[in-house]
Amino acid sequence: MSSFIALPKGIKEETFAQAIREYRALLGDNRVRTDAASLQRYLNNTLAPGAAPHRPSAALYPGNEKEVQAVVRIANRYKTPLWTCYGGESRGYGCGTPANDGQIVLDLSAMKKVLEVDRELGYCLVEPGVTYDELQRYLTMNGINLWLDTPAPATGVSIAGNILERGTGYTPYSESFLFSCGMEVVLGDGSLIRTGMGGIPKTTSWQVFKWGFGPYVDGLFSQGNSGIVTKVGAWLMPPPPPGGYKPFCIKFPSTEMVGQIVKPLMFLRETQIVPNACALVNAGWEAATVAQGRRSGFVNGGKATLATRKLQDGYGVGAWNLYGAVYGSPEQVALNWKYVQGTFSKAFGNKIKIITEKEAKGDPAFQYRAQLMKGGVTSNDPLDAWRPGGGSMRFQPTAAARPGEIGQQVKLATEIMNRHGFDYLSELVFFWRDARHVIDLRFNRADAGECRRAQRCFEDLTKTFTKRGWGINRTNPGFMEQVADSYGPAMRRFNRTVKKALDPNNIVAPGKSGITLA
Amino acid sequence: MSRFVALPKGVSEETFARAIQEYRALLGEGRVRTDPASLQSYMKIMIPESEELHKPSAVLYPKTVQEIQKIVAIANKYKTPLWTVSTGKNMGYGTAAPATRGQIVLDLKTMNRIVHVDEELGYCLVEPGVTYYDLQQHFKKNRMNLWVDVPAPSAMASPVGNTADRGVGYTPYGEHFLFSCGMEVVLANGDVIRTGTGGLANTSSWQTNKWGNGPYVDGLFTQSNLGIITKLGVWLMKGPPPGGYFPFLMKFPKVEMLPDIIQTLMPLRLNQIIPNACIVVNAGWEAAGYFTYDKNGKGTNRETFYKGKGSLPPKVFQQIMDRYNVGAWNFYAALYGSPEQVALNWKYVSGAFKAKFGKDVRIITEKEAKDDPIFEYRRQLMMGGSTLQEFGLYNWRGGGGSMWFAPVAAARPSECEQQMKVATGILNKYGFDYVSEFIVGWRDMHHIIDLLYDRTQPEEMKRAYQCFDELLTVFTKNGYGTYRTNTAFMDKVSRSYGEGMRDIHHKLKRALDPNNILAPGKSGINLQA
Repeated sequence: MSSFIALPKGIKEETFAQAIREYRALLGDNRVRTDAASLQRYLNNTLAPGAAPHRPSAALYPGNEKEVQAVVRIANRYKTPLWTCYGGESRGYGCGTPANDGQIVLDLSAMKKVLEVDRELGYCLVEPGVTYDELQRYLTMNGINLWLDTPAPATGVSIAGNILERGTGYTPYSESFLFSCGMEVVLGDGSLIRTGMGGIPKTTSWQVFKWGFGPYVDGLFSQGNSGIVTKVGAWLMPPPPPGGYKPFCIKFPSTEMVGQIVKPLMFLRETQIVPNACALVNAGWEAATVAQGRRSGFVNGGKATLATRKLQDGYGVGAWNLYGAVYGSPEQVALNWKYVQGTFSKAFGNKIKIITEKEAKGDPAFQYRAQLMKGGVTSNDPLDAWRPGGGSMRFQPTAAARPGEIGQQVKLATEIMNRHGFDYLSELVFFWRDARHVIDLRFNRADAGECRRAQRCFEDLTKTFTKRGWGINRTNPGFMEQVADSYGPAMRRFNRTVKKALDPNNIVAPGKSGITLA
Repeated sequence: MSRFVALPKGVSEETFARAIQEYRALLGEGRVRTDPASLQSYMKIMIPESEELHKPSAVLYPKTVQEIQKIVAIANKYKTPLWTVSTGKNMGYGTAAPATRGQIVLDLKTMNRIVHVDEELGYCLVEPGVTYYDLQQHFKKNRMNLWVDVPAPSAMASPVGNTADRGVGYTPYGEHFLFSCGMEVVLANGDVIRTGTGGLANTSSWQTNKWGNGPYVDGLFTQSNLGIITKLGVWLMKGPPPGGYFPFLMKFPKVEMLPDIIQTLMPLRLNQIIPNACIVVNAGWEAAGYFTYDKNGKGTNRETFYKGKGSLPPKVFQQIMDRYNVGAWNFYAALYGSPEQVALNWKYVSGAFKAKFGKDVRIITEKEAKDDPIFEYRRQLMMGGSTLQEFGLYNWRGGGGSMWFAPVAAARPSECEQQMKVATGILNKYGFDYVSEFIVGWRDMHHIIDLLYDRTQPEEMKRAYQCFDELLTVFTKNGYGTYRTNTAFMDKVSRSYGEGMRDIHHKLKRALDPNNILAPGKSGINLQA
């Protein structure tokens, strides 16, 4: 019997034991764990279990970038792959579970320094273990009046992790990777670089200018596996003055309206009248947020899936619920609010309900979204209680922000999910020219049959969407191969070539985004 | 005597001749030129080095991606380096001449298809030979209310080339690379990749979603020699409604006011009240614009005011300011939106500056400017119009020498002031004038300094080189990085960013272009050095 839970592919037990001894000599026993109890948390994900196991063989907790470099050097000697996890960033996308069995989890959550916050220009430099709630506390404690942009939920979520997964929030700074500036990275071969302006000794601009000189490399480390990020800069938004934030919700009565919403909305987005990444939330997701409890009833006669109409009546939600906000001085807000109201009233007349803080009163869904659109840190995912059993797989295609395409995606996703017996739960988050169509496939993980169905449903979604020319932006380890394939063989060859140059021994997270040298 | 104007390093004449034969078999004689007359236009440089160091050996004019794939195969076979230019208007940064002698210029100006313009979402997909002017004409012809962000001067420049060099313009879409979306790239091994979501068959979002899945690689092809960009997506801004564009100028009388200007301006910029990449232009730059408009039809230049040696004394600078009625600093910005939004934001902007400067600031809008040519020039730039006006700058000092020194400054009052002082000191020490503009980003400034000198005088050329070299050394020592530079100084700038970055760039180069055939020397990346 092996003394380890799992072993990396192709590594003998003695070799692995020898590697672990070296890791322990470096980090101490406490920061190198191979016991089942310690590793359990990395097995806890929300995915439908696939055919292959995804057990980690060990977990390492380095405390600084020098230790990360030393770990990488040992890993290169023993060829032990390191699955990097920053903390909480991949809910619904695999959590800390490695792409394949036996990888060592390199958990950076112990690197918790907030290295700098600049009030004047609005940015921070943090280590990978710093979470949104921690940075929020830091700002509050130091009386720094800057906003974060947060994913939902954000408590316990690493800022670096979210940026590197190219996660998004709901404020004007929603594209987290776009609003990041400067990285420190340990490459797969153990060398350390600072990107952008960071390589200049005594640089004054590491967090103010993204590009530096020569090829811009930061993108390689987003959804990548050529290096391990040990510091990242993020821009923070100067908040509007008092009275300068006005969140709103517009409720639309019918599912079929989704296409018609896009045109007026994109006008407001492209003119920056509504500058934030607004969310168009479907009835199911919204009902869950209102209910703050279990999904019950409201299903279609013979079918087990949710009936939108019944949800609308039961919870007072729209078939679609658009959450946006205007920001600025009170005068700017008043003026822009006039445009928002005018634009939607003109397009929809009295078919819609427009709700602001005044009308919303204690509505929990409105409160929740009002928090998100000013970068508030939320702790709970409303969908968790809605459908118990802990299964969640997020499907995230991009849609060009056109009425036809959005309408088709909604229709197709609903059909596929209902066919497999699942609810279509979604929010469409609108950026400058596209919407991320975030679909949460919720299922009962305790039910083996339902797990199999969920897996098939997700496969079906992935296959059908990519075939239609709709790209998937983010996925879980079980589907990284399939998604990488959809972007064509030339891109796969390119990614492998880059990996080989920077991580010749295939040490950093092999399999991530479908990239491996094995 | 060689039959060729120059040869690539380490390639014999026979080998080169055979390579040329193969290129000709592929493209025909007309599109493979080695004669001096054809190469002449690629040798015009403005940097203080001899043309001999930057002489091309040939020029190729491909028309299709397939042709480029085949060219790259031939180049690998014979080890003939290819210096890619889109339209070759990289003025002040090396123009179209290769970084090292003997490279073949791969001129993509004949690939000039506007593949697609999308009016609904505001973007275009263009080939490298398309110019900003071509795009503007296309919008006009098709009555599209779209603006493309232009660098200055723009008419002949290429959006692909400028974006690939991470150039900037003056509208809210000023950061060209940030506002690009999706590339097609020919790699040195002949592979063609489409980045972002472009690899997906039937993609509908190549120009709407930048990321795709997995590592985001577009940045690797900027300021780069890791691939040849053959198509690029560019986001376009929709023009505001009538009455919704409000350009303005503020003139400040004293050089010492710079930090106060920055301090007043940055909150407006960070809060997007001023959404565009606005500029703070110094007196020399501003005045030079008026030189071209001398009534006698003859070129006015700094010598009109000063015949002495060395840099202009402050007294003469003041005379020039008085003569042309320009400020020591001239701040150009614009407001965009509905007329109501513009009126409200103008209240904030004018209020902030009046509160800070009182009578020391002169505020000029379209009404006051009337037909002032320089106001018109800036008005055009901030709405993405085409203009060649910047060439007026070259009249400051005749003789055709110009190098952009382009450090980045954190947008803090003290840092901008410090950079200005250090730069002025060094330039003056070498007998040159401080001629600059600050382009204001979100948190940074592109501090663009034009080192203008007489390239016909060997002594002055040498001095200009030394001056630039010292600027780089001293700025780096202060922790200030340079965002873009000319071919003579790429290696030095690249070294200023430290061994780590040089290392990763060279590792990538070895992996993606092992034969070093793509633009060796670009950004200091060269496997031969």
